[in-house]
Amino acid sequence: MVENINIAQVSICSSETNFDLVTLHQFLKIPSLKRNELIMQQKVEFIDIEGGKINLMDGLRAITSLIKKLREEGSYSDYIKNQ
Amino acid sequence: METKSQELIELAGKIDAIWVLIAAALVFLMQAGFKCLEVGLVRKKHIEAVAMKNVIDWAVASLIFLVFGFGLMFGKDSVGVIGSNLFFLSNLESVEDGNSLGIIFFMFQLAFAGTALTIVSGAMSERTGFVPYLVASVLIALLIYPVFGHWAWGNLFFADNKSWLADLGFIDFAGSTVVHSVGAWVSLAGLSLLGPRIGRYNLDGSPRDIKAFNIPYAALGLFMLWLGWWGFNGGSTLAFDSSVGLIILNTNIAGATGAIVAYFHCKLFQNKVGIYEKLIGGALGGLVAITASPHIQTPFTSMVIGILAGVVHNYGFEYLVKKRIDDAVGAIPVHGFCGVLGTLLVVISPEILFTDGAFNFMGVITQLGVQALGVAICFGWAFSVGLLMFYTLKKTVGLRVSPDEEREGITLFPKIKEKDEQIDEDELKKLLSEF
Repeated sequence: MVENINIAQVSICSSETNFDLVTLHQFLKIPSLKRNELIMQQKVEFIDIEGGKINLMDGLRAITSLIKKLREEGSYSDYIKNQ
Repeated sequence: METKSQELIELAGKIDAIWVLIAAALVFLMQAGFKCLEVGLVRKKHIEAVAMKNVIDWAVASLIFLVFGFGLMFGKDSVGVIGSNLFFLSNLESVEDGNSLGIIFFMFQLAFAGTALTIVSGAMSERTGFVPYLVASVLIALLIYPVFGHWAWGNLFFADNKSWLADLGFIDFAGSTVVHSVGAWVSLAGLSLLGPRIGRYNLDGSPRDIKAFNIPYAALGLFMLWLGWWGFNGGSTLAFDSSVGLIILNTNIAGATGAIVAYFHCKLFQNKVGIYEKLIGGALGGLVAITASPHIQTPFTSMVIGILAGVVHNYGFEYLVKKRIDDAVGAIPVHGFCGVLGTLLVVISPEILFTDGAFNFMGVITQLGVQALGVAICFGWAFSVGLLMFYTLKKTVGLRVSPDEEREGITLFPKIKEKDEQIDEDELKKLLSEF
């Protein structure tokens, strides 16, 4: 499932001088309010498996469709818990 | 007659001093070796930053160890934990009960401190910011290295000094644990907070190959380190006596055996994955492992240490990759795992194994227990203080550079990029509502 969207890592700008690198799964575990705030402030960068930058909107579209699909299958909470 | 023997004693003292100074120069050469090795093993875009961090390491070690570190490590013991004099080398030459080598002893020990520091720069390269790295170097030279050093080697300058691990009988002749493992465990602490380089892992968690800039250059670094190790171990006698030849021979045997075993082990059992890195790492692993006891091993037991170091290095290398601990130059398998191995394998020395020709079971078990205690204390101290240090740095000056800087190459003065993406705010809000 995750393979289709090709987001390998997410970089989060946690301060002016520090960036945290997390997996997509770890990113989705962040409470949605906080996650949305980070995205609105453009403090998030999606990164593909080769280390290249993914356009923010493309990344969001891919994640939204992933979440939608998981919810339809009823496996979203399992995905968040288990990975 | 008496004057003649006095002259001979003085001459012997001068020869010892010359030898230790030459050994210090050889250990200093290891800084160049580390620089070549690390530059060769990282990607081309990061070579300038890696080289400059090596320069910074030596500069920081030279000043901080002079002002504080040396005193904390070798000064008169205070409350059984740290040294309390010799700061800025005050009275170093005039103290009566101190090591007669004086400033030459300091220069030799300074070169060791520089080695412990530079291990960290390699492991954390390609993503660590310059400022946090500089601060970390200061703290390692100021606190982490000298304090553990005092526990294990605190009686090297003042022979009557308390040094609780040494007093228990802990043997670490030239620093498999004191120098190499300290550097490795601090690196491990940093890496656990830093995370892997971007593009290092696939979506399924399998590692992606990151091509080294220049393997022949890394091999040149290995040769410089190998030569430096002759001084590292050979000079640790602090005298030019009959044991020096055997120490250097044992050192060489362990390095050579480690290289050969790591190469064939990788070829036969690990599908040749990273075979050049493992050949180089295996040689270094053998050199690190023998460092704890080259003075009491035989050429045969040195070979055994080298064989085991080659295998431990390769499995350690793969273990870290699997655990997503992205050590850019393979420093932890070399300096950490092989450092532990060598410190424990002190007990295979015939001097420990046999007493009056009979196998000394209790002696071996006791010594093994003391060695294991030293290894565990080193890990506990260096890892926990390292973790606290890097966590504080992460929350204050920052630890990891931006993805852009990581892609383009770390510089001393990174440019802050403006946000260049055009965002359709309505679409963004719509997408976020579905999150």
